[in-house]
Amino acid sequence: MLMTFDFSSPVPLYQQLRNQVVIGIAEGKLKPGEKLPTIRTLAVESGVNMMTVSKAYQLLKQEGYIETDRRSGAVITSGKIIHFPKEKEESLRLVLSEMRLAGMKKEDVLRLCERLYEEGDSR
Amino acid sequence: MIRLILWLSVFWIVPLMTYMLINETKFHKNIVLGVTLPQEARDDEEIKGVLAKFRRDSIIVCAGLLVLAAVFCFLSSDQKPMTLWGIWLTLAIVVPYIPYVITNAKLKKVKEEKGWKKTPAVIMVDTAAIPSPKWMSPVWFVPPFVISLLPVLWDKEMWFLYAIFALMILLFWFGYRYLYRNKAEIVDANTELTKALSQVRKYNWGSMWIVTAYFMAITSFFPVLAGKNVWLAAAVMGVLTVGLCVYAFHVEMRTRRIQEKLTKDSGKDLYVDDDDHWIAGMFYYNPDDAMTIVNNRVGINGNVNFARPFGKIMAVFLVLLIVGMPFMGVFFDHLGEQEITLRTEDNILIGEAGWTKYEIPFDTVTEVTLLDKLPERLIRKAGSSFENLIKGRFYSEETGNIRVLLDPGVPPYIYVKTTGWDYILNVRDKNLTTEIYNKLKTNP
Repeated sequence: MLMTFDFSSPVPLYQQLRNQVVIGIAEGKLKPGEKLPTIRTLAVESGVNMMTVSKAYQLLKQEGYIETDRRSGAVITSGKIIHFPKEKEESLRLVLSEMRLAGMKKEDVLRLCERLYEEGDSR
Repeated sequence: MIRLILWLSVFWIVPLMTYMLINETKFHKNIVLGVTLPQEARDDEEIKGVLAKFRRDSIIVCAGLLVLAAVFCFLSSDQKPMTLWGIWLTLAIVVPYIPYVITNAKLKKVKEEKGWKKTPAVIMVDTAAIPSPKWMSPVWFVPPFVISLLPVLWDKEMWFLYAIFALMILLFWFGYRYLYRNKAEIVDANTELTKALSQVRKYNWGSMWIVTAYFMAITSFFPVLAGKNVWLAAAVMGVLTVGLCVYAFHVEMRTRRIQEKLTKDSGKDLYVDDDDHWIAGMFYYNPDDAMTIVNNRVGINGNVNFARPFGKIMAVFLVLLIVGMPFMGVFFDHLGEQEITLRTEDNILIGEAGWTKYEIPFDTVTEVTLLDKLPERLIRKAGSSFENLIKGRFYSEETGNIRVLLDPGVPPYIYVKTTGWDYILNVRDKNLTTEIYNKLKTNP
């Protein structure tokens, strides 16, 4: 999976990493049981501080997207991820409101959602 | 003769640097003269023109520096040879990069004008192409380590010298292991390409260090061999040194060729561009990168992140080294011109030049001879050897280990055998040398 880090972005680096792993899992680029690079390796690869990578991994673990153990390091969770926090609903509401204000019709919004959802399914 | 050797040992740096710089006008990993450009730029007439001009300028600079070396070497007076050498070396290191820096800036401008510059620049990581964390076993460095200590069996007295050779081999292992950033050589989204480029670099990096370690191990036999046959030793050393330089050059060029070949179709859609972090295409400066040691983008060599504290120290050190080279020349010239004094005080012969001081009590002297010429094959073990001053510990077949303090251009020389060390001494005043000799000779 190809990850990108934008150091000039207002989104914190740990959040960028976390988001990309989540999208990677959803789109099938990261399979259940697949190993993620170790914290040190990812830090060497990206130049991101090890603490930052560690913070992203901790967050992913808390949210149930990855599991960690001493032998295998970080791996993508094999079981179903049931975690969907309430505040995400608010984020979705905000995005939908922005789409509505931008003049998008319900059909267009649903078509876009369908396409993005299926992109994840098809991989 | 020493001056000629001095110049012969460095003049080749300029044509070699020029060749390497001109090689950078080829596209390696989408990079040309330190600027990342898309595939379409390879056929762009403006880019071709800029690169052709750089090649011409580099050849002119190279020719100019070689002419200057010849002038400095043959036409300059015998005075201050090291100062001129230091000045030329500084110019040889700095001047070829002037066309490079100018062309790099031009290419960046063209890149921006043609809309090839990516904004914002992002760091890409291909999680499927991360290089293996495995390294060549340190066991490979054990044989050269042991070999470098073997000469102690024949030359116990110089054990510290061989210990330095062994220490160098340990440092080579350290260099192999820790001066390399084990990072994927990503150029675009092609995972297999990234893996191949990473393997090529890591393999060549390892082979360079291990070959250098074996070279150092064989070199450790030089002092022993020199004691037997100095010309054979010099020939072996010459062949080994040239062989190592050729090998290093070959490894670098082989890596570049593979990088060029593997990435000839890259740079079309998605490609890595971190030019913003490379000042003038040469110096890596990225405060966001937590790593201090980084890899050069082309070839196998390493670099330093000058935004890190250690990088800043290195930058200061490099500037001081380059700027200080002519001053070092002045310093060495001063050393070579140091006054040699010989005097007797309270039945002790005292020889001095700079911080070297020999004291020979008369009652330890067993034999004194006046030599018209120096022993052949006088090999330095520790000390200084200038055109007008030789001092320190030397060795020759005729005398064995000996302490020397003299101007080789002003015979005669006093050969003093004592119950301890033996000495060869003189001063720049022939009459004074003879006078001291007579004093030693007549002393009971």
